[in-house]
Amino acid sequence: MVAVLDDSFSSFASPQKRRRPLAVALACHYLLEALAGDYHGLWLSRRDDPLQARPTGPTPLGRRVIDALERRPGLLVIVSDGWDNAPPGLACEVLRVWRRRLDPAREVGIVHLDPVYDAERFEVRRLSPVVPTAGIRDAEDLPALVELARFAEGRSGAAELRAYLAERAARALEAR
Amino acid sequence: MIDLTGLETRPAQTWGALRLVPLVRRAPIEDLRLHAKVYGDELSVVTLPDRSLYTAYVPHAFVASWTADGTPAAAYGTQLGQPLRHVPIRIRRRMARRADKHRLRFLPLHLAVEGFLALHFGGPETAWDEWSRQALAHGLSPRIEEAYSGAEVRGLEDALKVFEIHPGQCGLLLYAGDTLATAFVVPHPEDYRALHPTLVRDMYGDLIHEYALYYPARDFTAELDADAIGSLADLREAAARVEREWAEFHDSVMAAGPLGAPDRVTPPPRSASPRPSWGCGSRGPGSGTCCGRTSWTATARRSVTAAGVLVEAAQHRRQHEREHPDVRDEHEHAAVDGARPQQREQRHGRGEHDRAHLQRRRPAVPAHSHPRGHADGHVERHRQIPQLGLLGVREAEAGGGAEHADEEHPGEHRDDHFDVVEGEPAPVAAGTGGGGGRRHVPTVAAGVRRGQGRRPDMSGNLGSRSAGPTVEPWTDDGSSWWRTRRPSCSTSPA
Repeated sequence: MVAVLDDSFSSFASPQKRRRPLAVALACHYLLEALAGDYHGLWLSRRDDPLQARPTGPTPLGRRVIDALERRPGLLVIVSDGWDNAPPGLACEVLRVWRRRLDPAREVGIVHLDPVYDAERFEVRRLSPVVPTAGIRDAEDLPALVELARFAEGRSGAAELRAYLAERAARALEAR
Repeated sequence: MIDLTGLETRPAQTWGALRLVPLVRRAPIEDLRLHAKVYGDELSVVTLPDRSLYTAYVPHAFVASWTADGTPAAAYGTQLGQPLRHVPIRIRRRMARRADKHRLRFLPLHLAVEGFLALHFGGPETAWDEWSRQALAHGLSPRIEEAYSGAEVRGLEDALKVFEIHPGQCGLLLYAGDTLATAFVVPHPEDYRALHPTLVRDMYGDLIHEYALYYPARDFTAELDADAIGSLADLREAAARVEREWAEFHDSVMAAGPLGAPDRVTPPPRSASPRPSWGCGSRGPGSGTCCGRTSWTATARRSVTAAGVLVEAAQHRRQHEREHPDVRDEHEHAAVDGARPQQREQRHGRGEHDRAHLQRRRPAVPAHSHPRGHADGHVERHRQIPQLGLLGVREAEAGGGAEHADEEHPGEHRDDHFDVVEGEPAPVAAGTGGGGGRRHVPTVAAGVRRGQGRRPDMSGNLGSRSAGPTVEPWTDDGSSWWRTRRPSCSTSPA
């Protein structure tokens, strides 16, 4: 599994909730590291130490997605606010070409998790129409959201989703 | 002409109609540094020669540091305020002033505008000495300007995250509605990082907000040819090509005007310069185009900024458009009444004179200063100007044609606000001008208090007899920098 994690300047988010998107990305990094056996986290700024993450720089998401796809992961998780600006729209094009030309069988599952709610659109900002996007508020929702995204993409059926949700509900009730 | 040598273009970032094109420097300039000097909330008060006061709010200046031997100079970084509680009013001297040995404090707009004027409104060669002495000693004609702090613009703070700073970024080209509004380049990336917020918030706050909200522009989104891509390596190569193509597109198309324009426009022969009519070509109810995009384009195409701005601000249109028709009448009146200029001048007073400047076809930079000799022969002075060929220069700048000259005027005229803001008072001459001696109390619009939505940052009644700044030459040999050097995109004084 590979994750592309956004630590561009826009992950500063708002003055009211400072650095929340960055914190979510950081939490996702550690969560995936613990959950997935084979995991690589790729930060946009190309920093190695996640604890040094700071919200700086542009969002060259397209190039970083190519870096991630080169590793041929089973699942690619992109945690970003979707403001792909260096250059704009490159990530969308990369994902489109990847899906259409290089991986039409969908061997690599791709999920976009967006920690920032776009108030103007009343939804989270999508990265690409060919990739499911789910809003993520707390990092611990990540497994459920990835599962939901797989359903949205048609990779799992309704029965699997029901079973998964029932299991989650049961666990939540047990915890109480 | 703008020279982007040493600077590389990065993909633009778009918000509304605003497009910020980052400029990245591979090797920063180490021996010239800039940092912002924040002036806080207090008002600046400058005493004018006629004993009136000019009051303004100036958000910040820049301070340039350099060393004579080329060794690195450390900037102190952004100065966050001064201990000013016991000094509520700051009385400043010149616009550009040596702050220390090898340090110069200047107002960014001022430097840009001075450089621009020196390059493109140099006046006729034959009258250069006289003209420059007057204009530089006494500044340009007075006006009233409003600016809004970007911090007061709702939503701007959040939106600033769209404009992300690239590693090594030393400047930007700002496009509003895909028209070049400004080029801003500093020597060092750290300086840019420190100055970026002041640039966006203090210089263009309301401009950015207005264009972002009401004139949306679309992103130039990347497009890849899926059929030509057969492998991941192809995909990577195509992505890199998209980035290159964007930079080429910007440099060759979007910035083609400033990058390719001649740095000097040859004035046409004097006989060929048509005598202009007084009217404004696009004048009419609701048409603000004389201050609008047409003139902006024409101005920006041939503009040079040293470290700042040439912006045809939207607020100018709002502010003056009502007055434009009036000015024509004033001038027609003057033409008829010109036989007795002194009487008319005294009768009408300074209020009308202010307005008359706004639409004048004569040079944006008056060749004759107002404070002195104003009442004796004012009309006569202006009539001499076309004969000197100054008008011909202006029309060449505007691309020829009387309409252009008219449309550009507000833009040029706007520039000298910044001169007046901090102009050092010239030596007070006894009995200056015809109406001198009257104390002119500055009027500052209400709402200066912190926290109000609109802050009259640079307002204040300037009066008609205020003198502009005296721009002191600061090169070591005493020669004027605007003559010895042409400002380039970078601000190196060396």
